[in-house]
Amino acid sequence: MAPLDVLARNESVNAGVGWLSTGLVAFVVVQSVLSGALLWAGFAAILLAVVVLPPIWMRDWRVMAPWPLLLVSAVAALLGGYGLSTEVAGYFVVAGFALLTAVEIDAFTSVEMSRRFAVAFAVLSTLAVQGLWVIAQYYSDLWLDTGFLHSQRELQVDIVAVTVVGLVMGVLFEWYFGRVEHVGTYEQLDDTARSP
Amino acid sequence: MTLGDHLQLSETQEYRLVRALQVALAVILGYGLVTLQFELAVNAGLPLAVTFLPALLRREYSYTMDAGLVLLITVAVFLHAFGSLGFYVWFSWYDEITHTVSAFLVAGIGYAVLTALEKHSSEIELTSNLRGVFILVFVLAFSVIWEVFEFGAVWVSQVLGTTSPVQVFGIDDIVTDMVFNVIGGVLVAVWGTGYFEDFVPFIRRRLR
Repeated sequence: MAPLDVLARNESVNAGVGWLSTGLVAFVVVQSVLSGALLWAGFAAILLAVVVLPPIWMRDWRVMAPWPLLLVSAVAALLGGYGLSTEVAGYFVVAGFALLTAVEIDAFTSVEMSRRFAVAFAVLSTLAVQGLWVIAQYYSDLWLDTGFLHSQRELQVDIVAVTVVGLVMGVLFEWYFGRVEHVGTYEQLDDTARSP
Repeated sequence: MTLGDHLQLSETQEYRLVRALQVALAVILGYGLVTLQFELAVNAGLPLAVTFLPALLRREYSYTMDAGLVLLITVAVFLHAFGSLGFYVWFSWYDEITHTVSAFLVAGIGYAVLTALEKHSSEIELTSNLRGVFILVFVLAFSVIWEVFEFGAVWVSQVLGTTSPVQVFGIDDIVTDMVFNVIGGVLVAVWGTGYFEDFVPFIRRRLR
C-alpha cells in the first residue's frame, strides 16, 4: 500500500477537528432527510462516506484527511443544508469531495499522484461534476418534469461560479499542502521531478 | 496504429486534403472580410491559423506530426468555420458533429498530456481505469471551461458593442454541446488513445 501521503496519522488535533467536521456532515444528512431535502441529504451522505473512509479502512480513528479540507467541506454542507446559497455551497462541497477523493485514491490504491497533479485532477473533476450535473438537471427537467434549470443566463452564471470556486479551492489547497508542514504531508516531493 | 494508417490514405493524400481545406478556409476568410462580416472572418481566420500549427511545430521544434493527426486538427477547425456560414443555425445536428469531432481531438490531447506527465514524473502512476476516467473528466472540464469562455466572449462583445464571434443558443444548446463532448471523449477513452501516442514524446520533451 502506498504511504498515506497527506492523510494525517498520530495527530489527535487533526483527527479531533476532522471528527467534528464529520459530525457536522452527519448532522446535515439527518437534518436534510427530516426536512425533506433528499437531494442535499444524498450529497451530504456521499461526502460523509468519503470523509469516514480513511479511519474505517485503516481501523484507526486518527487517520483523517487534513482538517482544513474537512472543515471547509463540512461548513459548506451545513450552509447548503440550511438553504443558504445552496448553489455556491454545492460547488464547495463538490470541490472538497474531489480533493478528498484524489487524496484517498493516492493513499489507498496503487495509483500515485504528485501533489500538483492531484490538485489539478481535483479541480478538473469539480468542473466535470458540474458538467454532469448540468446534463442530469436538463434531462430531469425534460423527462421528470422537474424545474432545475430556469434560464440560460442563470446556467451560465452557475458555470462561471463553479469554475471560480474550483480554481480558488485548487490554488488554496495546492498552497496549503505545499507550504504548511501538515502532519503526513508529502515528503517525497523534490523540485527536480516537478512538472511545470 | 496511427490515425494516418487507420484512415487508409497515403500521407500525400492526407496532406493534399489538408491543403484543400486550408484553401477553403482562406476563401471563407476572404469572403467574410469582403462582405464585412466580422464574426465570420474571425471564425475562419482563427481556424486557418490553427491549421498552420503543425508546420510551426515542425519548424520550431523539428517535430513532424503524424499526417492523420494533422488532418484531424484541420477537419475539426474546418467543420467549425464551415458551420459559421450558416449550418449551425440551419441544422441543429451540425453542432453535434463539430462538438464530437472537437472533443475527440481535445480528449486525445488530454490523454497525450496525461501519458507524457506519467512518463515524465516518477511520482505519477495511474491505472488504465483511471486513465479512462481522466479522459472523460478532461473533456467535461473542457466543456465547462468552454462555456465560461463563450459567456466571457459574449459579455466582452456586448461591452465593446460588437457582434460576438461565438453565440449561445440557450440551455439545450449548452447541454447538447456537453453531451456530444462526452461522446467524443468516450470514443477516445474506449478505442482512440492509440491515435494520440504520436503527441506523447513531443509533449514530454517540453516538460521540464
